[in-house]
Amino acid sequence: MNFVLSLVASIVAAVVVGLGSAYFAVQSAMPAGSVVKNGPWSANLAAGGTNADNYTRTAVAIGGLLALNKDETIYYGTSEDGAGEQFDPKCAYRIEGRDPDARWWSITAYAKDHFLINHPSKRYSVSKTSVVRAADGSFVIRVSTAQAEQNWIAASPDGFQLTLRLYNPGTSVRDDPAGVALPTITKEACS
Amino acid sequence: MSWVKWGVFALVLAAIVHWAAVAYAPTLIMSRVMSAIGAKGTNQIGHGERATAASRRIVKPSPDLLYSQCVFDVSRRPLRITTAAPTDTYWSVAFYAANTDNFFVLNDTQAKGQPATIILMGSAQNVPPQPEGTLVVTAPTTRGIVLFRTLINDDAREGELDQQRKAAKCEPM
Repeated sequence: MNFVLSLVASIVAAVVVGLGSAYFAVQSAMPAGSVVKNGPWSANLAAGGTNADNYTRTAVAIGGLLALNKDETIYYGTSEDGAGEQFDPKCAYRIEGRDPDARWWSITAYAKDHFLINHPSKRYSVSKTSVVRAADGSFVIRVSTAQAEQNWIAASPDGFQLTLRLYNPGTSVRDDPAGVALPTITKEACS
Repeated sequence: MSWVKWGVFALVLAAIVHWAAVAYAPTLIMSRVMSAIGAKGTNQIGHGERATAASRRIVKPSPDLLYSQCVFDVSRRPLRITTAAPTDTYWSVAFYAANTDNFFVLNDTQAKGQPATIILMGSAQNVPPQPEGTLVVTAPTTRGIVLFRTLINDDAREGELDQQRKAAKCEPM
């Protein structure tokens, strides 16, 4: 009886520890050198590539399945602002910058489950071809649960994350993905 | 056995569980997605609607793209893929192995805006000589996904681009 109990307890503990450690390893993924941080944005340059390891493949399968390789598209993601604070759905955020060096770009908000946010406005994203720019070429985008005038992306009251897609990234992005100028993210008013 | 031996046993087993979970998760997740989007059969193209919050099959869909897809199976014979060539916008066709690797991609710039023909074959297959300009690609796994992307660069063009992208084909040779 003691043998059976010990066996069952060992198996249960092994499954919990094995799956739990795998989960945390994937969450904090990833192979050194393939993840770049640029302000609040981070990108896994191994995503979609044929030289990715299984931790990266698993992370991509969970949070970005069917990603293109970095030569075609670089995906930056964030769930925090420029001060390093997690997005608070009670607050509005200001994304400010100029066109990143890419043939086409977009910023899209996703719910925590990695799907588009269910909002009647269907204002899921702002892109290179939809953004309204100032005379000097700069733009300001707002992300909030409350509707804004223009360049507005609807956030979810249950939390959200942002993805910046750079399709056919230019030389400056490919050469220095951690240092190239990307839009900044600043917290504004909170309710 | 002593508790020390049970502890060692549990640790070794935990390491195996950890390795297996990470090793097989990508393939399992891809397999589920292939079953979902290839429900109507393999080696044929399907055209998805523009993504909304109701689109729940594939994580992080872009709401600015039109996706068409073909779940491929080259275990028996190669596949001929013909791209559409939507005008004045970005488009691409990307090939994914069963382990999620994006092993080939062709975009509109590389195709000079023209429709392209791509032969996808298994690693043990051969194809007869093809017309000049036809690309031949070897799939690292017998099953996988071909994903066509068409950028909606202007909402007013959505209907036009939706029609244009439907010229793409995915058919066994």
